[in-house]
Amino acid sequence: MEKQQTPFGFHKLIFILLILLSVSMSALGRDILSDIIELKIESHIASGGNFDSVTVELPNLTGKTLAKVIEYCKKHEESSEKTGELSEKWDGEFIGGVEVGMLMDLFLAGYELKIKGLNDLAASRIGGMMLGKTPEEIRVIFDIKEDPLCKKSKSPKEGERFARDNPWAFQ
Amino acid sequence: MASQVPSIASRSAIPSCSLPEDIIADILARLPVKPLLQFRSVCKAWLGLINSSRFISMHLHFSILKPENHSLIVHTFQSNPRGHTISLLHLDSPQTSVKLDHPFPRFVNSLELDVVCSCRGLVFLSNPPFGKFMSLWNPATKQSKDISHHTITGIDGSWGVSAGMGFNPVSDDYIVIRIVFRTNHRIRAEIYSSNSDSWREINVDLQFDGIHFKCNAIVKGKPYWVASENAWENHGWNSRGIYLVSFDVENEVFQRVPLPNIVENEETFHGVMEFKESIGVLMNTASDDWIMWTMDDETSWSKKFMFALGLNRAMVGVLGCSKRGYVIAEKTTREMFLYDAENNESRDVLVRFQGRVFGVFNYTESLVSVKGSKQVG
Repeated sequence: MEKQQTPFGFHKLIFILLILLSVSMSALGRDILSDIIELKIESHIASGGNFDSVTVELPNLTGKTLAKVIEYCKKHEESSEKTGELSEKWDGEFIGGVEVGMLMDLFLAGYELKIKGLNDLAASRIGGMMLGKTPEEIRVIFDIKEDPLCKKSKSPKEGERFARDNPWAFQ
Repeated sequence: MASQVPSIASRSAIPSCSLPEDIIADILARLPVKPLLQFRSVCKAWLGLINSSRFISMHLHFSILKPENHSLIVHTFQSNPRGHTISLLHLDSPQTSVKLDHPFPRFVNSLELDVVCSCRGLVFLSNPPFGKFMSLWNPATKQSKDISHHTITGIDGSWGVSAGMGFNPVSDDYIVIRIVFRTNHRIRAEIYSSNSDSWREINVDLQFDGIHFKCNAIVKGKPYWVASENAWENHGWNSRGIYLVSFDVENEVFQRVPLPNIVENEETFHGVMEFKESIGVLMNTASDDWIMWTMDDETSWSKKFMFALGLNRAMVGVLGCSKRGYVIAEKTTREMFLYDAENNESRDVLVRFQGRVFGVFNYTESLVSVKGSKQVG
């Protein structure tokens, strides 16, 4: 008999969290812990009671990030059950309220756990922060050391040629 | 400023120097074209990424998904001062219209320049009636590629040329089709491939007469023409003799597409346009109502909706449909407006143009570039 699939989304995440528990338990708050236990039962039932054969690649996430990811997934599961619509306002407040390091962590979590909504939300927010920045500022944000196109010592011609060919891009 | 910007990487679990290219691409692909062109100078890795065809496709994919990226290319002609104007009109508020520098400023007579179509961020310009000069232009990167080196040069026995454009997703190739109509009704056709930067003549099995100097719509990379039997002899046409011809870009064949079965004399053909990613045909009724038909699969048409613009047919013309499916219409007062035909309600008055509107095209900016392009302006 074919094994029943766990529904994509929150359950899938909890599924992963169960495996993560031993790693991140101490960092998670009590509420989330009880949620996980509750959902452990739900997701155990949903998946036909068999977790044994599942292997999941684990992203390197802190407990704090996981708590945020859970907050996001819970909200979205609730609102899709209730109204079928996700609140853009809630998304905006959620992502607008996190500091930059956490933002990058949430993006990576969304990317690696394949939580599309969170991935889109965080990537768009990071993209929005990049608008209006110069390449130098972008290098600071992304901690990029090398700068071969502009650093005179390395390749002055390349940088000059680039600026000459695309003057309007720097206006 | 730079020192106040906190580093994402230093506070993240994964240091940025080891951030995989896919992750960087996932962030960058959501940005508009202009900052991406600037960010090519951030580092060599970013330059290579932003110029790669895989990234260009990914960026376009994200661009198309965002309604705020949908805009219109509007081609107008004014007689004083004489010349063509090509503008970019953003549909979302605030509506802004920006005049663009195009590659053919020297063509100032009304019939010298035609915007043929817009496809995946490229705008195809031609010089009617024989398409002697042609250019693929990307207004966002301000690059254009001259493709006037076509092979069918003799115009003996030919009464006109119709041009079209398409995209082959299999070979990631932008193609231009040039159809030469001849008085003996045996057409010749040639295609330009952006991958090979060359033209070659193709065999044509389906014979038809086009009634415009350009393709009338592009749907999913496939161009469509309005055609008729022996249009040239009639010096005009009616809805009875009209059908559509599409060009299958992958197999390089023309295909005949019949129009919806309309009741004689009740509906007259107005035009063909893209409607929400399928081919749409707009009909007029005697009582000044409009009917939109769309093709649901390769064979059958269905009546999508009927609407009344509340104006006499002589007072208003329909120019096309926006990506969201709003009808773009023009009053004889040269005001352009959007009309939500599915819900029968008028949207905003867009803009009032100085000259005559020659054409309106849906446009989404992209990084797509044709090899050998040059800077415009």
